[in-house]
Amino acid sequence: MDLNVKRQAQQRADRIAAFRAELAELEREQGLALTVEQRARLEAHLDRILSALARQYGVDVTESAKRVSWGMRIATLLGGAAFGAGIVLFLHRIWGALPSPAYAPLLIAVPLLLLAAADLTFRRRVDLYYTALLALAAGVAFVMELSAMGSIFNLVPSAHALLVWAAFAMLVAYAYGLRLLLGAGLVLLCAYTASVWFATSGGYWANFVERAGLLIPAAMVLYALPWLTADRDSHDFKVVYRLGGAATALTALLISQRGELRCLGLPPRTLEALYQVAGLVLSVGVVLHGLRLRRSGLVNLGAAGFVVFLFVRLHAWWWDWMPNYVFFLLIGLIAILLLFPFRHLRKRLSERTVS
Amino acid sequence: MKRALILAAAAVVIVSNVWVLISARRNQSDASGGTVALTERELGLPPMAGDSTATFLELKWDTYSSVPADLRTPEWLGATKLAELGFDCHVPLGSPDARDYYSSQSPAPVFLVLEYEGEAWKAANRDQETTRDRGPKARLGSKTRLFAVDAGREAGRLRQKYPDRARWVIVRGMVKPLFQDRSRRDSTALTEPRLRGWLEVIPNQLFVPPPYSKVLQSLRRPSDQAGNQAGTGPRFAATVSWGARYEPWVQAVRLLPTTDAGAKTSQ
Repeated sequence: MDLNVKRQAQQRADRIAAFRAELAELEREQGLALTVEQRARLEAHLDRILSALARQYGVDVTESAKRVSWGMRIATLLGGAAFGAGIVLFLHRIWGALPSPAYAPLLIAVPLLLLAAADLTFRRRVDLYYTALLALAAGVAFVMELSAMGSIFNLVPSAHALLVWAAFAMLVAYAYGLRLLLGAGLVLLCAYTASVWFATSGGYWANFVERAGLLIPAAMVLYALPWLTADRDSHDFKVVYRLGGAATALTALLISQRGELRCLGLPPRTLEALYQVAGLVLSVGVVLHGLRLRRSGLVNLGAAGFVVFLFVRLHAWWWDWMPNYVFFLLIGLIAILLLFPFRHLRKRLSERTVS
Repeated sequence: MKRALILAAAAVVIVSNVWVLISARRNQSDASGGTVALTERELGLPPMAGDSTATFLELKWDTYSSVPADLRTPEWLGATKLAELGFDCHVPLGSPDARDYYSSQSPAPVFLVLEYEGEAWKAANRDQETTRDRGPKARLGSKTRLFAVDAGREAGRLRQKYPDRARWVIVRGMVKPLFQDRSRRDSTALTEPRLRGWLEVIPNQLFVPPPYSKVLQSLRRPSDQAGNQAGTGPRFAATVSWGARYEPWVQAVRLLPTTDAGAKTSQ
């Protein structure tokens, strides 16, 4: 099934629902009056379209169906992770009884079989949730399997594992149009570039989080990539790149340690403050860009980042010398004050949409 | 196109696993890291974790310091040695920025030399007997005979310096600078701050494959029945090698007669 067509079908079903709601409102306000015959023909036509969309593409035609779909997505996520982990843990359970030569073939077979099952469900046009669940399970199994292989041969952990996990996740994501796997792959890719950079500078790669700022260049590239792939996004992956890039950059700024940029000759506390201010500015930028693109995911991510960075900065300024209750009262007051600019922004956006 | 992507994903799984197998084979082709016969003093047998029937041994090693509280921060790993290992130690230890500066330095991968039944072990034993120390070291199983005695960026140079492969094994590890202005024993202020390196061996756990794992089956206990083996001698011995990539593997395991005699032989 072409996922892009399915998404377009869902968008049309959403437009029909919005059209019906608005039509009812217009009729109530007597802004538009259809004859009974016109109304009946229109309703019959819309019903035919919706039932065809639901039959062919499995789209959600009501709000209730959409809510159920969200439940299915969460079940897919949990089920996929649990399924992959369960199989590998089962292998751990029978490990002691297995001969050494059986280890590698068994471990390799687990993600491959799950991948084959995912492909089978996709080609049989079973609901995409099953494909997503099995693909996710294959990804989890691959991570656990490769780690187990490293353990049984007592190998020193390698940063390259991050690269192969990222490659697997992204290949499967592009094959089936799975945004969650793509997001995981992109984050792993950022982690890989940061860890290799960190290792090149003499550190132990697994500790790259201590120099979380190294994640930022790759995150910026991810955020910028959708501009380079203007009309080649058949799976609506642009938002995943932007969400992955923004989330990684904000997280990197949040966990960056003091003194990381000693080379700039600035005191650690100044650098810490600079990171937090950069986080605030970036959060606002993500919110504004999300509004411009009409992507609620970006807006929510930016808003959450803004609140966290603001809290961290205020904590650094006030927590030590202020009574705790005053600190929290001030936070509450600031939240109330923040509602004013947000309301103003919302009003301006509404006016711009109407004009 | 979709088919090609899935085949590529399957190829990623296969190639990465084949790479692991090749790496392991290359490592085990030559025990250039050294081979030593260790006992339960150096190889802890952790209790069974969860449902797993896999058997791992924990490498137990130590460092010698005249101050028993200096866990894994040996005297030989001071500022000079850290600089030799590539750390930038130009900030004077008395400087107000020294703590922030050295605390912000990240761990670096190194090669470590572990000496078996060498001078460091003898000195630690002497200290323990004379001071009757009952500090944290005694609790953490200082009876191991494996002591870290040196570190370097190049394994080849270390091997030239420590040629006996049955006495000195070269392993992979990690070192992190540690700024100290207080005693680790009682947190009293030191007369002057000092810089030490903190060590870690990677990997610290050794997988025991069959048939050797079966030898250890009878000794394993569930985690809720775990307890230390203080007062008893080692129950098993294992030959462990470190290979061409300085990664370990278990060559053999055998049970030892469990008597107090075992404990006596270690003194």
